[in-house]
Amino acid sequence: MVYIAIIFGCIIGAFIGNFAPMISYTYSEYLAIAIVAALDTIFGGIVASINKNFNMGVFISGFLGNAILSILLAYLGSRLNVDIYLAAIFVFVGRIFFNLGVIRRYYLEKCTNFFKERKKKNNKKTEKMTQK
Amino acid sequence: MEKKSKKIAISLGILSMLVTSGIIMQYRAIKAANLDGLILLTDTNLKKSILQWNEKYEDSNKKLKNTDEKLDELRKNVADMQQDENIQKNIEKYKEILGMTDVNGQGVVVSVADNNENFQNSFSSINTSNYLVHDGNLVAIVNELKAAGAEAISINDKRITNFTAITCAGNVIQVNGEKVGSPFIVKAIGPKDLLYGELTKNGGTLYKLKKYGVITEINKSDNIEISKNL
Repeated sequence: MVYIAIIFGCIIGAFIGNFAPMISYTYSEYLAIAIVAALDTIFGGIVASINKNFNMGVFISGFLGNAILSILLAYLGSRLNVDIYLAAIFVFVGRIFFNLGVIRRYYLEKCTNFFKERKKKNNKKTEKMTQK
Repeated sequence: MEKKSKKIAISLGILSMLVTSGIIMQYRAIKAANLDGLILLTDTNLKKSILQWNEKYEDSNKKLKNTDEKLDELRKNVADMQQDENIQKNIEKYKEILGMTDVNGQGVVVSVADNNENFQNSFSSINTSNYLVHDGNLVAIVNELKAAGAEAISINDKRITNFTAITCAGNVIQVNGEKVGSPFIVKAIGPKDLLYGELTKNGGTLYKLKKYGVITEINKSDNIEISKNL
């Protein structure tokens, strides 16, 4: 259900992005950071829904807060001639990988459990067959 | 539980929509920024500044278009105005002041020229500069003519307006950037007696020039033509 919603959102977003007005190159730097922040929030949301501790307030405030703070930091960095946005990207991407690891582990476990059960069933069937 | 998962799905869907639209916008911006000539520029700051200047250029182009449109509108308005007689009269008057029309009428013709012979005079000095006409002299003559009420003035057929600069340029004088040499023939249209009196008064510019040894001549005339400013 969650993945269907995400795919659907991606398709609509692609359409909107295609017809949206062009942003100037000067601001593309900040948009990039906002994109990374939003990606981080999406992965965080998926992990939270897997762990069943999803909280709407945390989710929205996390997205807005992360995006705005990282944009502000990037702006400050460009004023101070320090590439602070690199630090923001480092943190976000690191967290994305961490969350991806959690998701991967969860589905791997599910898969292995599924195959184990099938094997058990097959074994039982063969046992029954041999008993007959 | 079912309601909550729906909520999660919707919020994640909206967020992913925002992200993809952002990614595509970003992609388009970067793609547009990769101009053919800029590929070789590895210095991102240089590239950035070029792009920023490009943006500024496009902005000013837009502004130019806007002002062109405004100008067109104004021209249309002018076409309406041309039927109004009062405005037409005013336009003629201002055109004359700006030197945009040919003018003819009574006035005076003053000619001043460098004296090339070594002329002994009361102000006599070793300084040959005194025998020459300088830019300041011409300015003084023009100012005196204006003070006496001249409507149109020209030096060697170069129309003098309020914006004309008379400057020194070595052995010649520049009137509005065009070179003018001796002899200088200053034509002025206006009340000829007044102009004549003003220029020939004791202590006036022509008087001084004469004393210094410059060749001067002044004539009243009833029909002087001054062509328009180019």
